[in-house]
Amino acid sequence: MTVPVAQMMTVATHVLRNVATGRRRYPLVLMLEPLFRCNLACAGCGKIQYPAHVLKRQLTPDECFAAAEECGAPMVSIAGGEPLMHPQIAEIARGLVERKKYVYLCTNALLLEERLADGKFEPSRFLSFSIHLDGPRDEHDFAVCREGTHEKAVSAIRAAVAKGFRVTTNTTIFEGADPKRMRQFFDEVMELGVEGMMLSPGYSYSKAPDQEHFLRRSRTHELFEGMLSSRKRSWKFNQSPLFLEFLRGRVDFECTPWGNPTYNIFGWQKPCYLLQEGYVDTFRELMEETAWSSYGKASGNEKCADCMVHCGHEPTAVHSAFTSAAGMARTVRAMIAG
Amino acid sequence: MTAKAQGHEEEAGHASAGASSRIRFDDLSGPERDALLARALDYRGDITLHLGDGTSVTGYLFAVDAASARLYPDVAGAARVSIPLAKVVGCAFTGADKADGRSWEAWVRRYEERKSRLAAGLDAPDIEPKPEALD
Repeated sequence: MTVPVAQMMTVATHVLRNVATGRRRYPLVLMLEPLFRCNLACAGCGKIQYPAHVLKRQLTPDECFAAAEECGAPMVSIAGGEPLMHPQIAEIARGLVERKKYVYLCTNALLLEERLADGKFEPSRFLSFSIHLDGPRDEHDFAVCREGTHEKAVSAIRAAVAKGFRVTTNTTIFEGADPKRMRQFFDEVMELGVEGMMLSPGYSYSKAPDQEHFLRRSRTHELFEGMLSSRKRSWKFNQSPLFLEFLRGRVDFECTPWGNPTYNIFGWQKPCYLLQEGYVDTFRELMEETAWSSYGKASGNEKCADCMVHCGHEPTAVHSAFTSAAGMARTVRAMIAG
Repeated sequence: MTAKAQGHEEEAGHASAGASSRIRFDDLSGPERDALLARALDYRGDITLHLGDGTSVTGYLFAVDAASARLYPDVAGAARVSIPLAKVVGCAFTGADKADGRSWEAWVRRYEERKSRLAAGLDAPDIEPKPEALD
């Protein structure tokens, strides 16, 4: 695991403080969506399928800061839409960094070199650019429905690394992924000088029977085992080792939907980053009024049956790693064994 | 990716082209009204809520609970509004469905068709989806 020690200590302290005070449900990462406008139109992306008047709306910096303070999570993942299209994104990132939040600014990177050249972003141990790369060139360009995107993203990664920024990649694995090609992809990404990579299985619940693109649980295990077995030491993952073990089917976790609460122009999203089942105006309402027992695999909710995405399950892995001897031992074993 | 993302082109009954006829709540049973509101909530376009005083509100519906419907009106800069359900007498799907034709399966179909045409030496149109022009 390549997360800097200071960040790991902040997360560990946050987890232990909440456990010590008897708080059973606490957030780990705020999923902040300041806008839904995007410069791509990836097929199937529900985050951009809104009327124009909704796409024109955006959160103000003060609204972003208020959400971060209200929630209290030590980490903020800025997503969207494409965050770099927000005219005040540098101000938002700077304000969150000043509040000592570890910020992952998620981006397709098409605008990143331009924004870096503007000089409005400054390298900080609190700020990482998390670049969306779904695989080698052909796979990525196909996934985002535009040729040339992979090349631009790679160029932006090199530019950001050269300027001293923390850079990670985030990769969504879909049905049809070739474990051998993904292992080569991991080599290519690490050669770009990134701090680490983040992986998540692609998952979406839909009422229509068009599920071929997304992964069922057993298939997720198979794919991730194929990609991550006999892992190279040069591959660094900016994720909990236990979460990667979970993806490989070596350990089972229940979802922690409140672990990565989502805030956007509609308010606080119930119950999680993927499902949109209502909005409330305050974080307290989100935590107190959501029927949490209706979600997760154990609930029997069909929408959750095959979900293994990071936003619900990495908080579980992190909680386990820091709050139980067994979890800590498993984490250390996973880090050593790879 | 969200729960609202997929498959609207396969679902019957959505007015993907724009205007649709008004559905009066008086004509519906309680469960039918709830199902209609659920469909309106799933819809990725603007809807119009008709109120008992003769007025109407058009906008994007993003939340419905037992008592109210919340939406962003299709008016620049307008704040989100909460409409008591007791005041709503009808609903229409008036805006274009922004999910229509934009599923992953639709993209794969177009991609494969384009590949076949190119392989056959035929002209093939640009199929890359474009973000909506907002200006």
